[in-house]
Amino acid sequence: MDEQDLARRASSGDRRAFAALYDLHVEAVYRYAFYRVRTDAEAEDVTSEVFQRALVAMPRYEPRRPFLAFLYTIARNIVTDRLRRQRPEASFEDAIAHPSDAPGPEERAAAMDDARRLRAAIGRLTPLQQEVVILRFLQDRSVKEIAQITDKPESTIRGLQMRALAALRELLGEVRS
Amino acid sequence: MSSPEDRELSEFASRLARYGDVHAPPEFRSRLRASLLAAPVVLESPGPPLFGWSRLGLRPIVASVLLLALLATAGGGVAAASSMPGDPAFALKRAAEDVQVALAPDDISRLDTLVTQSGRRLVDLETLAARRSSAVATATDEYLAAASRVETVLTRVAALAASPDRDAALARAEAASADHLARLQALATRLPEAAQQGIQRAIEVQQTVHGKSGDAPGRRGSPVAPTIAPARPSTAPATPSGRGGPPTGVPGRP
Repeated sequence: MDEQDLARRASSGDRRAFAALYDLHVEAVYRYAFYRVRTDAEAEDVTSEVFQRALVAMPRYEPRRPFLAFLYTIARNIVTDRLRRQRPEASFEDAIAHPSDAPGPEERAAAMDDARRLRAAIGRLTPLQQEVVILRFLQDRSVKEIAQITDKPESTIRGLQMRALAALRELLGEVRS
Repeated sequence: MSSPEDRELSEFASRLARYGDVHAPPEFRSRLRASLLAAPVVLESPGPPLFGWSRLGLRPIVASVLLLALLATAGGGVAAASSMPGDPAFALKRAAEDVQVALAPDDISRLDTLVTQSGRRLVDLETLAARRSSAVATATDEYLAAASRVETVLTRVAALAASPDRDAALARAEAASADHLARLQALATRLPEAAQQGIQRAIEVQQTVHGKSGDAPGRRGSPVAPTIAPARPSTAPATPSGRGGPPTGVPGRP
């Protein structure tokens, strides 16, 4: 059964079909959320909210559109709402020196440290640069898909991607030095 | 992409994919999946309806009529009503409860209904535990699913604008979860090994419910889960009231 069939069945209330869509896309949604918010706990909250809203909104899902794009659009709106409500962001140095999550076994893993350092650097880009970097280079989405998700012309995304990448590289260089 | 700078950026981009590889914690993944599977069916209207009856909200009524017809033909209405988790007729009882949830006019009354249902599941669990029934693990799973449904709807209610109806519903949910937590902690000492994992997860869900109902914007509650058992009986009555609203931030048709 392909994704469109699953989405059609989920739209008519088939919960197992929705669970299958969840299995397909939860990692991508979590990764997007992870790099758009400041803490692991927030990434989990955003991921939960994305799927809860998607479940309720399934009847409004247009099957011709990729399901992941539908999820990204919901995720993007949730992140934007959260950023609007939140107090001013902690400084980059604070984010590095005082990670908000309680340390646990996996916190010590070097790979996750790298990911959190990358998250802190991405957090210093503009919101649109963040989305382009995350979707294009961490999620491997096409320029066309990103244009649909962000509701921007493809030319804007194409023009932005290298500038965003250069800015990120510079920020990571600062962190490492 | 021909300049050295572009080539460097391109190499940096290919390194990024490996550098930024993160995964959702497995426990979080499975818990969210379970709560999505257990969440009550509350779908939004699909925009302009194809048929008039769905615009009039008749779909849940049709569902309840069908269910009543099913119960009548099966002759099992009474058996279903008194059934316990593990009984064959319990599925009918659950189906009737789902219809009750679907018929709730808004999320506030839906929350009350689900809190009442989770109270019933706890009584089922306590009854089966007292009988040392082999269905205790099933009853624990049913309770966990009921608590997860409460958590899902409570999240939406807490996001509504503060109002006396919303705050009263949250207060009822908070009081019920405090009572449930105390009873679950008492039960945990008596349940067999097979039900221990489920009961611990149920306690975690109820702690989340308690926190969310107390921390909702615009109201003050007790954010810390209590540990002292209040007197039984426990659950708040279902009192339909107030208004719900569609969640925000959900994309529609292009």
